[in-house]
Amino acid sequence: MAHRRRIDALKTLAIGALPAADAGVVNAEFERVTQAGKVRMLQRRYLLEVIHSSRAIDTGLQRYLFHRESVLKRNIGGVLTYLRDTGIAGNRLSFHRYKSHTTNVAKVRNTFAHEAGAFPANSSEVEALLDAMDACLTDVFSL
Amino acid sequence: MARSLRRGNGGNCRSSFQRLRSDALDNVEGRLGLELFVARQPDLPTLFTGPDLLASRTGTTIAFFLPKSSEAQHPRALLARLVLSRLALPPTTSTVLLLENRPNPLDAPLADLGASFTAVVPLSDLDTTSIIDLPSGTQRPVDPEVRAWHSERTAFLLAYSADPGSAKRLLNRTASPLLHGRRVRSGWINPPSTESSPRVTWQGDAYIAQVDPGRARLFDQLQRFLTPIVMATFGVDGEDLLIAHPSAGALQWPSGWPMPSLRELRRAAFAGWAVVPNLPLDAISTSINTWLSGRT
Repeated sequence: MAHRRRIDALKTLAIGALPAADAGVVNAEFERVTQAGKVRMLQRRYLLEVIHSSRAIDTGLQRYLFHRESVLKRNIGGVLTYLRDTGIAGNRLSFHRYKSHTTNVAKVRNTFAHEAGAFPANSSEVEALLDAMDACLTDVFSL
Repeated sequence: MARSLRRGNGGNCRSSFQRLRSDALDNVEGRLGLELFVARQPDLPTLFTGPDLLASRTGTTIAFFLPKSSEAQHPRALLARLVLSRLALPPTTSTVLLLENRPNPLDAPLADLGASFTAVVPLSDLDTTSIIDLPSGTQRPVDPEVRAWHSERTAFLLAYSADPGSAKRLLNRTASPLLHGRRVRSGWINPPSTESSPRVTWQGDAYIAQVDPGRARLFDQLQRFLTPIVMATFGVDGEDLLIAHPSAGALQWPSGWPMPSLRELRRAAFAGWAVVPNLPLDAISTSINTWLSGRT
């Protein structure tokens, strides 16, 4: 099944890093990424994979920040800015990592989520975005 | 397992080893799966090869390592896999080394590495209760400054791979966090195992490798160099992970070859390697040495 090893790894990390209820919500969204692999229309499949991954990453980051710092940010941009400026237990995202996650995740995701008619062109483009999202989540869980 | 398989024909030996290894992982996965969520051969964004199993329950993440046949022969490769995995996983992740239980002199070097893991568990007497009861955070976390330095090196090498022409700007933005007198120099370094190879040279703390035309994938190109660079850079003292000698490498990529994917470049950077096309050796080593020394 598409992305199975990648999704299982992320689900494992979410269970270890988040309170049980939060991990359940995030992992249900990750599961929908693998389910989206069954959709036959390629454009729709790619978009669903991006949207479900994106919701999982957004919620995962948001809940993790709240769990660790009791700070609530509404979106990935707010979380990354907080991590750059304040960090978790004093461990901050460097400017370069902040910029990398903003450029490779937040901006690309926003294009597909908010622009009418915007779809990933092929599976490689989806893979690149999912990779960047995974890297962002594991980077933050490792702070 | 390892002892009986090391004798005899190499090809058959390897496939038998792999089959037994796979069976052993099936067994551990099945037993752990009753209590924990388990990912087999987890696909992590920053690792070419990570733990064999990653298991978790609320508040606890455990990474399991079962030595490969190559690691049974070269235990430093297992140590390098452990080092990169610890840097890639959350700080509270516990690490477990799975080993054969029977006394085996050939496994002694592997058993010696046990002190670098949270626990060593014999496969033939697998007691999952003791593993499942491993409390979160029993492994001494990697020093945040070591993590920070490694993250910055990864960011620099990845950005340098993507745009070598921007080296000057990168050097201004990704200064080494250890530059203010906290850098530890051992004054001695293990050169890559390919010391005599014409494909690797080093200048200062920068290693420059040329591609092997017979290998297509980036991982295959770098595989021989990963362990030496990791173990030259990081020192492992029990569960403590130190920066022994800041170093990094660059693979000179032929301009006619398509660049590897971002995923592969990210993994190479995490392991300490940039992939750089169209630049002479001196320019590359100057950029890397400048970043490593913190002088911009």
